[in-house]
Amino acid sequence: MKLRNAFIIAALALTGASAPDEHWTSYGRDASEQRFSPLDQINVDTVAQLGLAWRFDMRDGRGVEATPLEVDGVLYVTSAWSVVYALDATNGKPLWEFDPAVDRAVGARACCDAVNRGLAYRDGRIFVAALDGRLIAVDAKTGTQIWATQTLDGGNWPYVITGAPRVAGKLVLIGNSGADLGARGYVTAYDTDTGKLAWRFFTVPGNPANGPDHAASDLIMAKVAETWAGEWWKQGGGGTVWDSITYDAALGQVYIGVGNGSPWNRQVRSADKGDNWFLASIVALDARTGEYRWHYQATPGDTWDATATQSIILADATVAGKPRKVLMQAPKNGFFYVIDRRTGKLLSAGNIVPMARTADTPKGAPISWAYGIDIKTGRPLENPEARYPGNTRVMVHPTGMGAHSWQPMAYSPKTNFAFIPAQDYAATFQADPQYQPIPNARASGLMPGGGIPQDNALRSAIAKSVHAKLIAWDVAAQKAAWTLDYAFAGNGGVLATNGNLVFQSGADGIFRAINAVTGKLMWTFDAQATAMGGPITYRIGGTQYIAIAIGNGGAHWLAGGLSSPQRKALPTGRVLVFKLGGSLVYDRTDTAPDPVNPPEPVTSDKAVLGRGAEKYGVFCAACHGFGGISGQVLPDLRRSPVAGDA
Amino acid sequence: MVVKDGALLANGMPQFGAELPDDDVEAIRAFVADEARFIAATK
Ligand code: HEC
Repeated sequence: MKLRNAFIIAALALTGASAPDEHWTSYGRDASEQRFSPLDQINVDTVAQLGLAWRFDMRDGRGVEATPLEVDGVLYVTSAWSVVYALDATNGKPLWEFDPAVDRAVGARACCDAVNRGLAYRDGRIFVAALDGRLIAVDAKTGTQIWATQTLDGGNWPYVITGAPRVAGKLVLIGNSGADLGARGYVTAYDTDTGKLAWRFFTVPGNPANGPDHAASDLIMAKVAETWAGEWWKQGGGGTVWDSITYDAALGQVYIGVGNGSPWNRQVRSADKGDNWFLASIVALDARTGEYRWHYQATPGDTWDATATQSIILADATVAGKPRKVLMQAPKNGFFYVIDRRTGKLLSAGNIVPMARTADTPKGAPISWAYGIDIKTGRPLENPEARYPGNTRVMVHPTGMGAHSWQPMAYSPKTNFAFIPAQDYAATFQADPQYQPIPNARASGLMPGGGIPQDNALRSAIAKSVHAKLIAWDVAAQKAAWTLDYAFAGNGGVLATNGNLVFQSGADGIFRAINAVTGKLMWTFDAQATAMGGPITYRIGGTQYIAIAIGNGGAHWLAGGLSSPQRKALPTGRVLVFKLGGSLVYDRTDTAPDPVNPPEPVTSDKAVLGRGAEKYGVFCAACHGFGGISGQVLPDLRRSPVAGDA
Repeated sequence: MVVKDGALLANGMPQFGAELPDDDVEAIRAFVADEARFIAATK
């Protein structure tokens, strides 16, 4: 089903503070975060000659989620554990390396691997946020530290940082993660010169007994608290700003994408009441002061891990004949939103995965949390059963890993298409009436799941039901122009170029160039690992390059082994850079999973096996794979020689 | 060792304490062994 208002959005044009054409100076190339490059030497006619120009191997083998930067001939990229590498962008020669020496024990409280999504740049300085919460300014020429500040002083929660900082004028902004384990979200702005704190904005109310936070959010917090009930502060409430932050120089605003609730289940979190501002929302803040301007809540009263931290892209649009500044987002909840940046008003919405009323859903199929959006109020039209009232047990979609997770989408003003790495994960929800927070375990408030039935046909059917695809979303029509289907979920972020190409790396390890208009596959390269972050492109000395940072890992690869190719991660992360006529030979690495040496059965007692599956689901699955099925990045316990005596 | 004593904490593998009693660890081990036997048998 398709929904939109009467306006026609057309002729979207490039917007925002644009980087010079040939560079990639911030996470989404420029402040608009469109991930659209005006370069066109590599185009639909020439892409067949694209080949590997150089390669660089990182030191670590954990997940790589970085989008690299390219500034003045230097490529900057991060690996796991927040290590920064500076490389000559024409040949990969290492210039310097900055290792913030993160204590590896911090990785134990990271929900989703020790990953890092990238860097910010301003005035000869590179900004990196380390997993342990430090925001660090580094000299872009030498790699020496200029200042460092600990940002995780907003409460005693198991925070980590995996996101890329963003520059907004003279300030650098960063949020954090932790809402899956229990945390209270906030974003902080620091002076790029000195590292001094400029402002902080909490996304959810704290414990009223503690009084005001002395933060920019204080001004709105009384109103925010009215949308909460019960003792929401006990597990922090959630709302971490773990990925998207977009700076709008034209309006002097920043937009922050706010995450899910802690715990997930609203029945436990907020006595089953209230919209719970600003969970699952986009919030517009004054870029200089951090004061609230407006918000749009995509999923009021989130109870499904429906984060709205996904890419927030800015563009200028003509809506019903009038020029408008819009932003667009495809959050986890399965809808695509176009919002007026001045007012926060919803202009149009459409569903990127099939959404239906419960009555129209075949028996046994997952139900949609909502079947549409009321364009007047901006609120979702929910299926009430999806809130798993009472003791009900329901399978809901999309959720958790999203219809669209953090893997960045791109937008081409040329076609007016957004390119969305999409999938449609369902999950079973049933409230746990006895729920008590447990350290080191998911803050869900749900009954723990068990094992996955030992039936290979069923397992492959579940994996296929995720329907991973690249969607070229026609923004004006709010419907797909074309889609490219993938066999596995966990595909990477997207780059769009003026050469009428989009680039995306699949979970199968294959890097692809696709015709942006028709969806036709134009070129492939078997990289043997996925570029989870987005590819970038830049031009130096008349040559256009395409760069990816590869290395399997992150939430999907750790937890979602069932829908991943059973292939081991490469021994280290890598940077691969391509150009027309590139001819470097790419040697193959054996990525076959380790052999299984089946242990003697411990017991055949179904009750014990069931309890083991349940406890494994609560404590181990997020890293070692649901149902014991590993994504082959961290040890597959079924193949582990030491699991027997662990 | 790995699970209860934090032998691999320095590599990012959490240490589990009171929230995971020994008989639960044993049940997890039984579950993992059962899954290992399943994939070995169906290859
Ligand atoms: C936060 C992520 C995380 C969670 C949760 C987690 N582990 Fe681990 N586990 C790791 C990492 C990382 C390693 C690899 C450490 C290394 O490289 O030495 C590991 C290694 C292991 C090993 C050693 C395997 C081998 O072959 O070397 C065992 C056994 C193990 N984990 C069991 C468990 C069990 C049982 C649970 C649940 C009770 C669990 N883990 C929960 C991250 C995790």
